[in-house]
Amino acid sequence: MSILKTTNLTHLYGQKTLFEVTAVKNISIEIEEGEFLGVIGHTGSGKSTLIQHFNGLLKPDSGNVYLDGRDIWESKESVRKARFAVGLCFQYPEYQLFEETVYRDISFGPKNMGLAEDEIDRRVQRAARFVGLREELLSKSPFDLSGGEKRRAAIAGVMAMEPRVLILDEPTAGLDPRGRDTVLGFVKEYRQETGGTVVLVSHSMDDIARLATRAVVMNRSEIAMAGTVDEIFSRGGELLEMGLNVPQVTRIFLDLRGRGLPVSASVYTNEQGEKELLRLFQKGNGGGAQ
Amino acid sequence: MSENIIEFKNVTYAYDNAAEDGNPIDADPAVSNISLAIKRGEFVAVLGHNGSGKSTLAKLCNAILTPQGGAVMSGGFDTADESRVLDIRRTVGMVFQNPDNQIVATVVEDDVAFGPENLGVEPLEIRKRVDEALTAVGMYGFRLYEPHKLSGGQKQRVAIAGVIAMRTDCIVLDEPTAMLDPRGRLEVMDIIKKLNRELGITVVLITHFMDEAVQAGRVIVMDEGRIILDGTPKEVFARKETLRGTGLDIPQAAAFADRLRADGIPLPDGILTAEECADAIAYAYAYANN
Repeated sequence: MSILKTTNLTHLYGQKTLFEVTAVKNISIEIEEGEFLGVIGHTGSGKSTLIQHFNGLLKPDSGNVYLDGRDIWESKESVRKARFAVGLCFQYPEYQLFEETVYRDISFGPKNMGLAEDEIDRRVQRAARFVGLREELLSKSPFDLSGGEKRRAAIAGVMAMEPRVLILDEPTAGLDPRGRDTVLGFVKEYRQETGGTVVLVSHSMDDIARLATRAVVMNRSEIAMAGTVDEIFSRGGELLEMGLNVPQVTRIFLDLRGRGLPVSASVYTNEQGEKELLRLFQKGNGGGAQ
Repeated sequence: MSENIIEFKNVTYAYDNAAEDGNPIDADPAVSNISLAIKRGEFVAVLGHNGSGKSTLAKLCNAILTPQGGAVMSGGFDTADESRVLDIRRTVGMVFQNPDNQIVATVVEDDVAFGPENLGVEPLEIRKRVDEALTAVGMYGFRLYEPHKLSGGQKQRVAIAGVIAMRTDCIVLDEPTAMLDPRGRLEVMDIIKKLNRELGITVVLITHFMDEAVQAGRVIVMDEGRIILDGTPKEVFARKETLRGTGLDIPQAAAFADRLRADGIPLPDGILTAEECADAIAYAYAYANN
């Protein structure tokens, strides 16, 4: 059974005013326990609005959200349950750090869950280890950390709640290549070690290609595509039209196909591209390329 | 008028957290003994990972920071000379990373007028400059909008218009696209190129995106407060080992071309973009089949 599910979910902003906007429209998706789902879409496509429904931060204007098959808006308790089961880490989460020490900041979530001191401590230590924050940083003020460390501390705060579903909204935005690799690396380890369900929201197709097993693409408040990463990337031309950034190698192959060369259009890693071109050149000139 | 719009001579700058209590600690300098000349009309990209000193370099260009050792001359004025700060700000304008932190007014055109107003420009002249600047960045149609209703890319274009309206000869942009989605990044890069080519404005673009750097005429790579590479994009990106050593990637298309060359597919050196790579592959394929 799916852990999270939405049926015909619609959300409007500025309802019954002149500025009414449909932010998400008629969305039905299912997220399986333990899967790594990528949610792709450019700014304004509705992806952040969608994920805020997953833990009850936003209430649907129509349609339903189910956790373990139960409507999360059934009762006060069920909403509260969803808040703890689904951990949501916003964009630029480092702006939300507020405590006196990094340790207290990471422990804020578990404390609110009413856990015992030693359990809180275990979770803080574990989350800090996941994101690679050294022990001595935990006693520092979060405001004395570097930008990359702040980001990691903020993500650790959500991980420490040990949610069954971890949702990360653009966790690599604004980071340099090294920072990006670090964050994606620990998200991957977190999932391998905990077996938890992870939803990664991004406009970077590269990030999604590296981690996700399945992806949905949002465009104009609706789901434009859903499928395996392979299936999504094979539609590179459409992704470009939606204002998304496909890997350079995908651009190269779209260009080559546009020139009439007999190559595949679903190439998104350098390895695939290399294989595809070796095949082409071997066939083309009788094995001239070794 | 000097041929160089910005000159650094043996410039050193260190951030010093403990300076307030009168006990300076020996922090590693953010910028260490840098000498550099930027000519009028150049488009220079400055690459480096976070903490490499590139933002410090940017802030030294228009006297937001002044050197602790050596000297910076901007538009012929010594940035250490406090009586010249306005002259320097009239010469070199800055655009920062976060669009929300640099918009001050509640209407787009008021925001663009803020800079020239502070320089004491006549009201009629301000009106003219604001209209021209908004037209140059393609935002004239939004002149009466509230800035918070704009997308990130549009906000950055307004911030750039604010600098254009000050008629500075040089614009320094510190990671202006880091917080934007792919569409916003394209919009801003198009404007930056236009400023340089059509208005002859000198551009210094601080970035960690390789695909942005390849569009500049000159690329400077920083690491640990020093300049480690300086040349045309082709020259700089040929130094793959040096780049990787500092935690930077080489452009994806260049890495892909390298693999193909190693496989025996005859491609020329110096491929940096997807278009160049597709061109070269198509050429090699046509050649192999003749």
